Amino acid sequence: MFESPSFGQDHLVLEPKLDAPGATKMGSISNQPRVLLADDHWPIIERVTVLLESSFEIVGAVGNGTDLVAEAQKLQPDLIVLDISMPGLTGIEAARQLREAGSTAKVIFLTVHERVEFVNACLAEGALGYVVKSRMAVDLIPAIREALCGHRFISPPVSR
Amino acid sequence: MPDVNRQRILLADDHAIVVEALRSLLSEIYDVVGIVPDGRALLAEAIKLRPDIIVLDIGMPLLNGLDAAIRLKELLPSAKLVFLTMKDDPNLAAAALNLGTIGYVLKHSAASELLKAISEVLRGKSYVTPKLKAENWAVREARAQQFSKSLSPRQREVLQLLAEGRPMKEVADILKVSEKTIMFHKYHIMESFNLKSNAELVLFALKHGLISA
Repeated sequence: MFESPSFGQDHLVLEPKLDAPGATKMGSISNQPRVLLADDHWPIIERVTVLLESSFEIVGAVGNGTDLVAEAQKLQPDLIVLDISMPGLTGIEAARQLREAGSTAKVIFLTVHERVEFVNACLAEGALGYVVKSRMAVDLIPAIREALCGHRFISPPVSR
Repeated sequence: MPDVNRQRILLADDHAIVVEALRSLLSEIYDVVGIVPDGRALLAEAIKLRPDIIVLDIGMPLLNGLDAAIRLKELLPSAKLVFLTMKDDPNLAAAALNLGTIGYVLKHSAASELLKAISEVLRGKSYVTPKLKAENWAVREARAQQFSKSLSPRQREVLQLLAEGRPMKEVADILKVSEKTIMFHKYHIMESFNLKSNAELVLFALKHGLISA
Protein backbone atom coordinates (compact mmCIF):
# COMPACT_ATOMS: atom_id res chain seq x y z
CA MET A 1 0.00 0.00 0.00
CA PHE A 2 0.95 3.62 -0.11
CA GLU A 3 0.50 6.71 1.96
CA SER A 4 -3.13 7.53 2.29
CA PRO A 5 -3.84 10.45 0.01
CA SER A 6 -6.37 13.09 0.69
CA PHE A 7 -8.94 13.83 -1.96
CA GLY A 8 -9.53 17.14 -0.31
CA GLN A 9 -6.09 18.32 -1.34
CA ASP A 10 -4.72 19.40 -4.66
CA HIS A 11 -1.94 16.88 -4.86
CA LEU A 12 -3.44 13.47 -5.27
CA VAL A 13 -0.51 11.34 -6.31
CA LEU A 14 0.28 8.37 -4.16
CA GLU A 15 3.89 7.58 -3.50
CA PRO A 16 4.38 3.82 -3.26
CA LYS A 17 6.10 2.69 -0.09
CA LEU A 18 9.10 0.47 -0.63
CA ASP A 19 8.01 -1.86 2.14
CA ALA A 20 4.66 -2.42 0.48
CA PRO A 21 3.62 -6.07 0.07
CA GLY A 22 3.97 -5.85 -3.70
CA ALA A 23 7.55 -4.67 -3.35
CA THR A 24 8.71 -7.69 -1.40
CA LYS A 25 7.51 -10.20 -3.95
CA MET A 26 9.93 -12.33 -5.98
CA GLY A 27 10.92 -10.70 -9.20
CA SER A 28 11.06 -7.22 -7.67
CA ILE A 29 8.62 -4.41 -8.18
CA SER A 30 10.40 -3.03 -11.21
CA ASN A 31 9.42 -6.01 -13.37
CA GLN A 32 5.74 -5.54 -12.75
CA PRO A 33 3.71 -3.50 -15.24
CA ARG A 34 3.31 0.04 -13.97
CA VAL A 35 -0.28 1.17 -13.53
CA LEU A 36 -1.73 4.63 -12.90
CA LEU A 37 -5.26 4.92 -11.49
CA ALA A 38 -7.75 7.74 -11.95
CA ASP A 39 -11.06 7.90 -10.11
CA ASP A 40 -12.50 10.62 -7.93
CA HIS A 41 -14.22 8.14 -5.63
CA TRP A 42 -11.77 7.01 -3.00
CA PRO A 43 -13.29 3.57 -2.21
CA ILE A 44 -12.87 2.60 -5.86
CA ILE A 45 -9.17 3.51 -5.80
CA GLU A 46 -8.81 1.40 -2.68
CA ARG A 47 -10.61 -1.59 -4.14
CA VAL A 48 -8.68 -1.45 -7.39
CA THR A 49 -5.43 -1.17 -5.47
CA VAL A 50 -6.21 -4.21 -3.34
CA LEU A 51 -7.14 -6.13 -6.47
CA LEU A 52 -4.05 -5.20 -8.46
CA GLU A 53 -1.21 -4.67 -6.04
CA SER A 54 0.10 -8.24 -5.98
CA SER A 55 0.55 -8.36 -9.77
CA PHE A 56 1.14 -4.77 -10.75
CA GLU A 57 3.02 -1.77 -9.53
CA ILE A 58 0.55 1.01 -8.74
CA VAL A 59 2.62 4.09 -9.50
CA GLY A 60 -0.02 6.63 -8.60
CA ALA A 61 -3.66 7.51 -8.22
CA VAL A 62 -5.35 10.76 -9.15
CA GLY A 63 -8.83 12.09 -8.55
CA ASN A 64 -9.52 14.11 -11.69
CA GLY A 65 -8.85 14.22 -15.42
CA THR A 66 -6.56 17.22 -15.36
CA ASP A 67 -4.21 15.64 -12.82
CA LEU A 68 -4.33 12.41 -14.79
CA VAL A 69 -2.91 14.06 -17.90
CA ALA A 70 -0.11 15.70 -15.89
CA GLU A 71 0.79 12.60 -13.86
CA ALA A 72 0.65 10.23 -16.82
CA GLN A 73 3.16 12.41 -18.64
CA LYS A 74 5.40 12.53 -15.58
CA LEU A 75 5.15 8.87 -14.49
CA GLN A 76 4.97 7.26 -17.95
CA PRO A 77 2.92 4.23 -16.77
CA ASP A 78 2.48 1.14 -18.92
CA LEU A 79 -1.25 1.27 -18.36
CA ILE A 80 -3.92 3.62 -17.09
CA VAL A 81 -7.16 2.54 -15.42
CA LEU A 82 -9.54 5.48 -15.45
CA ASP A 83 -13.10 6.50 -14.78
CA ILE A 84 -15.25 8.28 -17.35
CA SER A 85 -16.94 10.93 -15.21
CA MET A 86 -14.41 12.92 -13.23
CA PRO A 87 -14.00 16.51 -12.08
CA GLY A 88 -12.09 18.79 -14.42
CA LEU A 89 -11.65 16.79 -17.59
CA THR A 90 -13.73 13.70 -18.23
CA GLY A 91 -11.78 10.47 -18.73
CA ILE A 92 -12.71 10.58 -22.42
CA GLU A 93 -11.12 14.01 -22.83
CA ALA A 94 -8.09 13.06 -20.74
CA ALA A 95 -7.51 9.95 -22.89
CA ARG A 96 -7.68 12.09 -26.00
CA GLN A 97 -5.22 14.65 -24.66
CA LEU A 98 -2.79 11.89 -23.70
CA ARG A 99 -3.06 10.24 -27.09
CA GLU A 100 -2.50 13.57 -28.83
CA ALA A 101 0.53 14.18 -26.60
CA GLY A 102 2.00 10.88 -27.80
CA SER A 103 1.35 8.77 -24.70
CA THR A 104 1.92 5.06 -25.28
CA ALA A 105 0.19 3.95 -22.08
CA LYS A 106 -2.55 1.38 -22.64
CA VAL A 107 -5.93 2.69 -21.54
CA ILE A 108 -8.68 0.82 -19.70
CA PHE A 109 -11.90 2.52 -18.66
CA LEU A 110 -13.47 1.37 -15.41
CA THR A 111 -16.95 2.83 -15.15
CA VAL A 112 -20.54 2.37 -14.10
CA HIS A 113 -21.80 3.37 -17.53
CA GLU A 114 -23.13 0.51 -19.64
CA ARG A 115 -24.44 2.46 -22.62
CA VAL A 116 -22.90 1.49 -25.92
CA GLU A 117 -22.43 5.18 -26.82
CA PHE A 118 -19.95 5.46 -23.97
CA VAL A 119 -18.10 2.31 -25.05
CA ASN A 120 -17.80 3.65 -28.59
CA ALA A 121 -16.62 7.06 -27.39
CA CYS A 122 -13.92 5.42 -25.24
CA LEU A 123 -12.75 3.06 -27.99
CA ALA A 124 -12.62 6.04 -30.33
CA GLU A 125 -10.03 7.59 -28.02
CA GLY A 126 -7.88 4.50 -28.33
CA ALA A 127 -8.94 2.60 -25.20
CA LEU A 128 -8.27 -1.14 -25.28
CA GLY A 129 -10.37 -2.07 -22.27
CA TYR A 130 -13.84 -1.19 -21.06
CA VAL A 131 -14.75 -2.72 -17.70
CA VAL A 132 -17.99 -2.03 -15.85
CA LYS A 133 -17.57 -1.54 -12.12
CA SER A 134 -20.04 -4.30 -11.23
CA ARG A 135 -17.68 -6.79 -12.92
CA MET A 136 -14.46 -5.28 -11.69
CA ALA A 137 -13.41 -8.28 -9.59
CA VAL A 138 -13.81 -10.66 -12.54
CA ASP A 139 -12.90 -8.52 -15.53
CA LEU A 140 -10.27 -5.98 -14.55
CA ILE A 141 -7.20 -8.21 -14.41
CA PRO A 142 -8.08 -10.06 -17.65
CA ALA A 143 -8.68 -6.68 -19.29
CA ILE A 144 -5.27 -5.45 -18.15
CA ARG A 145 -3.52 -8.65 -19.36
CA GLU A 146 -5.19 -8.31 -22.75
CA ALA A 147 -4.41 -4.61 -23.03
CA LEU A 148 -0.73 -5.17 -22.21
CA CYS A 149 -0.65 -7.54 -25.21
CA GLY A 150 -2.44 -4.96 -27.34
CA HIS A 151 -5.79 -6.73 -27.31
CA ARG A 152 -9.24 -5.39 -26.61
CA PHE A 153 -11.38 -6.45 -23.67
CA ILE A 154 -14.94 -5.26 -23.08
CA SER A 155 -17.06 -6.42 -20.14
CA PRO A 156 -19.80 -8.88 -21.21
CA PRO A 157 -22.84 -6.74 -20.28
CA VAL A 158 -21.82 -4.08 -22.78
CA SER A 159 -19.96 -6.11 -25.42
CA ARG A 160 -23.09 -7.90 -26.64
CA MET B 1 -47.46 49.77 -14.35
CA PRO B 2 -46.78 46.13 -15.19
CA ASP B 3 -47.48 45.20 -18.77
CA VAL B 4 -49.56 42.05 -18.98
CA ASN B 5 -47.88 41.02 -22.22
CA ARG B 6 -44.37 41.13 -20.86
CA GLN B 7 -42.71 37.95 -19.63
CA ARG B 8 -42.23 37.92 -15.86
CA ILE B 9 -38.74 37.38 -14.46
CA LEU B 10 -37.51 36.40 -11.02
CA LEU B 11 -33.84 37.12 -10.25
CA ALA B 12 -31.77 35.08 -7.81
CA ASP B 13 -28.31 36.31 -6.88
CA ASP B 14 -26.67 37.11 -3.56
CA HIS B 15 -24.68 40.08 -4.89
CA ALA B 16 -26.74 43.25 -4.54
CA ILE B 17 -24.82 45.21 -7.18
CA VAL B 18 -25.06 42.43 -9.74
CA VAL B 19 -28.74 42.02 -9.16
CA GLU B 20 -29.45 45.75 -9.42
CA ALA B 21 -27.54 45.94 -12.71
CA LEU B 22 -29.49 42.93 -13.93
CA ARG B 23 -32.77 44.47 -12.92
CA SER B 24 -32.15 47.63 -14.89
CA LEU B 25 -30.92 45.68 -17.90
CA LEU B 26 -33.86 43.29 -17.97
CA SER B 27 -36.57 45.79 -17.01
CA GLU B 28 -36.40 47.28 -20.48
CA ILE B 29 -37.78 44.09 -21.99
CA TYR B 30 -39.23 42.04 -19.16
CA ASP B 31 -41.22 42.52 -16.02
CA VAL B 32 -38.88 41.88 -13.08
CA VAL B 33 -41.26 40.58 -10.42
CA GLY B 34 -38.83 39.74 -7.66
CA ILE B 35 -35.29 39.45 -6.40
CA VAL B 36 -34.03 36.81 -3.97
CA PRO B 37 -30.60 36.44 -2.32
CA ASP B 38 -30.35 32.66 -1.82
CA GLY B 39 -31.55 29.31 -3.12
CA ARG B 40 -34.10 28.66 -0.40
CA ALA B 41 -35.73 32.07 -0.79
CA LEU B 42 -35.79 31.34 -4.52
CA LEU B 43 -37.89 28.20 -4.03
CA ALA B 44 -40.34 30.02 -1.75
CA GLU B 45 -40.73 33.06 -4.02
CA ALA B 46 -40.92 31.02 -7.22
CA ILE B 47 -43.95 29.14 -5.92
CA LYS B 48 -45.60 32.40 -4.83
CA LEU B 49 -44.79 34.55 -7.87
CA ARG B 50 -44.89 31.89 -10.59
CA PRO B 51 -42.49 33.72 -12.96
CA ASP B 52 -42.09 32.76 -16.62
CA ILE B 53 -38.32 33.06 -16.39
CA ILE B 54 -35.85 32.66 -13.55
CA VAL B 55 -32.36 34.08 -13.94
CA LEU B 56 -30.28 32.48 -11.24
CA ASP B 57 -26.73 32.33 -9.97
CA ILE B 58 -25.20 28.98 -9.01
CA GLY B 59 -23.04 30.05 -6.07
CA MET B 60 -25.70 31.15 -3.59
CA PRO B 61 -25.99 30.72 0.18
CA LEU B 62 -28.19 28.07 1.82
CA LEU B 63 -28.91 26.21 -1.41
CA ASN B 64 -26.87 26.49 -4.60
CA GLY B 65 -28.54 27.36 -7.88
CA LEU B 66 -28.22 23.92 -9.47
CA ASP B 67 -29.82 22.09 -6.60
CA ALA B 68 -32.48 24.79 -6.43
CA ALA B 69 -33.08 24.24 -10.15
CA ILE B 70 -33.55 20.50 -9.63
CA ARG B 71 -36.30 21.33 -7.12
CA LEU B 72 -37.80 24.01 -9.37
CA LYS B 73 -38.22 21.46 -12.15
CA GLU B 74 -40.70 19.70 -9.86
CA LEU B 75 -42.21 22.70 -8.11
CA LEU B 76 -42.63 24.97 -11.13
CA PRO B 77 -41.88 23.06 -14.33
CA SER B 78 -43.24 25.86 -16.53
CA ALA B 79 -40.53 28.34 -15.47
CA LYS B 80 -37.62 28.70 -17.89
CA LEU B 81 -34.24 28.74 -16.18
CA VAL B 82 -31.22 30.79 -17.19
CA PHE B 83 -28.07 30.32 -15.12
CA LEU B 84 -25.87 33.38 -14.84
CA THR B 85 -22.74 32.37 -13.00
CA MET B 86 -19.03 32.79 -12.38
CA LYS B 87 -18.62 29.02 -12.64
CA ASP B 88 -16.99 28.13 -15.95
CA ASP B 89 -17.08 24.44 -15.02
CA PRO B 90 -18.15 22.28 -17.98
CA ASN B 91 -19.48 19.60 -15.61
CA LEU B 92 -21.91 22.10 -14.08
CA ALA B 93 -23.04 23.35 -17.48
CA ALA B 94 -23.68 19.75 -18.60
CA ALA B 95 -25.59 18.98 -15.39
CA ALA B 96 -27.71 22.09 -15.94
CA LEU B 97 -28.38 21.05 -19.52
CA ASN B 98 -29.61 17.67 -18.31
CA LEU B 99 -32.43 19.45 -16.48
CA GLY B 100 -34.10 20.31 -19.77
CA THR B 101 -34.29 23.55 -21.71
CA ILE B 102 -31.97 25.95 -19.92
CA GLY B 103 -29.60 28.84 -20.53
CA TYR B 104 -26.07 28.87 -19.14
CA VAL B 105 -24.19 32.15 -19.38
CA LEU B 106 -21.06 33.33 -17.59
CA LYS B 107 -20.97 36.56 -15.65
CA HIS B 108 -17.94 37.62 -17.69
CA SER B 109 -20.06 37.51 -20.82
CA ALA B 110 -21.59 40.52 -22.53
CA ALA B 111 -25.10 41.51 -21.52
CA SER B 112 -26.21 40.71 -25.05
CA GLU B 113 -25.37 37.05 -24.45
CA LEU B 114 -27.68 36.92 -21.46
CA LEU B 115 -30.48 38.50 -23.48
CA LYS B 116 -29.86 36.00 -26.24
CA ALA B 117 -29.97 33.07 -23.78
CA ILE B 118 -33.27 34.30 -22.34
CA SER B 119 -34.88 34.67 -25.74
CA GLU B 120 -33.60 31.23 -26.80
CA VAL B 121 -35.08 29.44 -23.77
CA LEU B 122 -38.35 31.30 -24.31
CA ARG B 123 -38.35 29.77 -27.80
CA GLY B 124 -37.83 26.36 -26.22
CA LYS B 125 -34.14 26.05 -27.09
CA SER B 126 -31.23 25.63 -24.69
CA TYR B 127 -28.35 28.06 -24.84
CA VAL B 128 -24.95 27.20 -23.36
CA THR B 129 -22.06 29.62 -23.66
CA PRO B 130 -19.78 28.29 -26.46
CA LYS B 131 -16.73 27.79 -24.21
CA LEU B 132 -18.58 25.20 -22.10
CA LYS B 133 -20.28 23.24 -24.85
CA ALA B 134 -19.36 19.58 -25.11
CA GLU B 135 -18.34 18.38 -28.56
CA ASN B 136 -20.40 15.20 -28.42
CA TRP B 137 -23.02 13.28 -26.51
CA ALA B 138 -20.62 11.06 -24.58
CA VAL B 139 -18.55 13.91 -23.20
CA ARG B 140 -21.63 15.92 -22.25
CA GLU B 141 -23.29 12.97 -20.56
CA ALA B 142 -20.06 12.03 -18.76
CA ARG B 143 -19.80 15.60 -17.48
CA ALA B 144 -23.40 15.65 -16.34
CA GLN B 145 -23.00 12.34 -14.52
CA GLN B 146 -20.05 13.77 -12.64
CA PHE B 147 -22.32 16.23 -10.90
CA SER B 148 -24.83 13.61 -9.82
CA LYS B 149 -22.71 10.52 -9.26
CA SER B 150 -20.57 11.39 -6.29
CA LEU B 151 -23.06 13.04 -3.97
CA SER B 152 -26.80 12.65 -3.62
CA PRO B 153 -28.94 15.83 -3.62
CA ARG B 154 -29.39 15.44 0.14
CA GLN B 155 -25.64 15.05 0.69
CA ARG B 156 -25.02 18.18 -1.36
CA GLU B 157 -27.54 20.15 0.70
CA VAL B 158 -25.94 19.04 3.97
CA LEU B 159 -22.42 19.59 2.70
CA GLN B 160 -23.16 23.10 1.49
CA LEU B 161 -24.69 24.16 4.79
CA LEU B 162 -21.83 22.66 6.82
CA ALA B 163 -19.22 24.18 4.52
CA GLU B 164 -20.87 27.56 5.03
CA GLY B 165 -19.76 27.20 8.62
CA ARG B 166 -23.15 26.52 10.14
CA PRO B 167 -23.30 24.42 13.31
CA MET B 168 -24.94 20.99 13.00
CA LYS B 169 -27.92 22.19 15.02
CA GLU B 170 -28.63 25.00 12.55
CA VAL B 171 -28.19 22.68 9.55
CA ALA B 172 -30.59 20.22 11.15
CA ASP B 173 -33.15 23.01 11.71
CA ILE B 174 -32.89 24.29 8.13
CA LEU B 175 -33.36 20.81 6.69
CA LYS B 176 -35.93 19.84 9.35
CA VAL B 177 -34.12 16.67 10.38
CA SER B 178 -32.28 15.59 13.54
CA GLU B 179 -28.70 16.50 14.33
CA LYS B 180 -27.92 12.80 14.28
CA THR B 181 -28.97 12.61 10.64
CA ILE B 182 -26.69 15.51 9.78
CA MET B 183 -23.83 13.82 11.61
CA PHE B 184 -24.48 10.63 9.68
CA HIS B 185 -24.36 12.46 6.34
CA LYS B 186 -21.23 14.33 7.33
CA TYR B 187 -19.27 11.24 8.31
CA HIS B 188 -20.49 9.29 5.33
CA ILE B 189 -19.24 12.03 2.98
CA MET B 190 -15.91 12.30 4.81
CA GLU B 191 -15.35 8.57 4.66
CA SER B 192 -16.33 8.22 1.01
CA PHE B 193 -13.96 10.93 -0.11
CA ASN B 194 -11.23 10.35 2.44
CA LEU B 195 -11.63 13.78 4.01
CA LYS B 196 -9.79 14.01 7.30
CA SER B 197 -10.82 17.36 8.72
CA ASN B 198 -13.42 20.10 8.51
CA ALA B 199 -10.96 22.13 6.46
CA GLU B 200 -10.81 19.36 3.87
CA LEU B 201 -14.58 19.12 3.90
CA VAL B 202 -14.86 22.82 3.10
CA LEU B 203 -12.30 22.52 0.31
CA PHE B 204 -14.20 19.55 -1.09
CA ALA B 205 -17.44 21.57 -1.07
CA LEU B 206 -15.62 24.37 -2.84
CA LYS B 207 -14.38 22.03 -5.55
CA HIS B 208 -17.87 20.66 -6.04
CA GLY B 209 -19.17 24.15 -6.61
CA LEU B 210 -21.30 24.06 -3.46
CA ILE B 211 -19.71 27.13 -1.95
CA SER B 212 -17.75 29.96 -3.51
CA ALA B 213 -14.25 31.12 -2.68
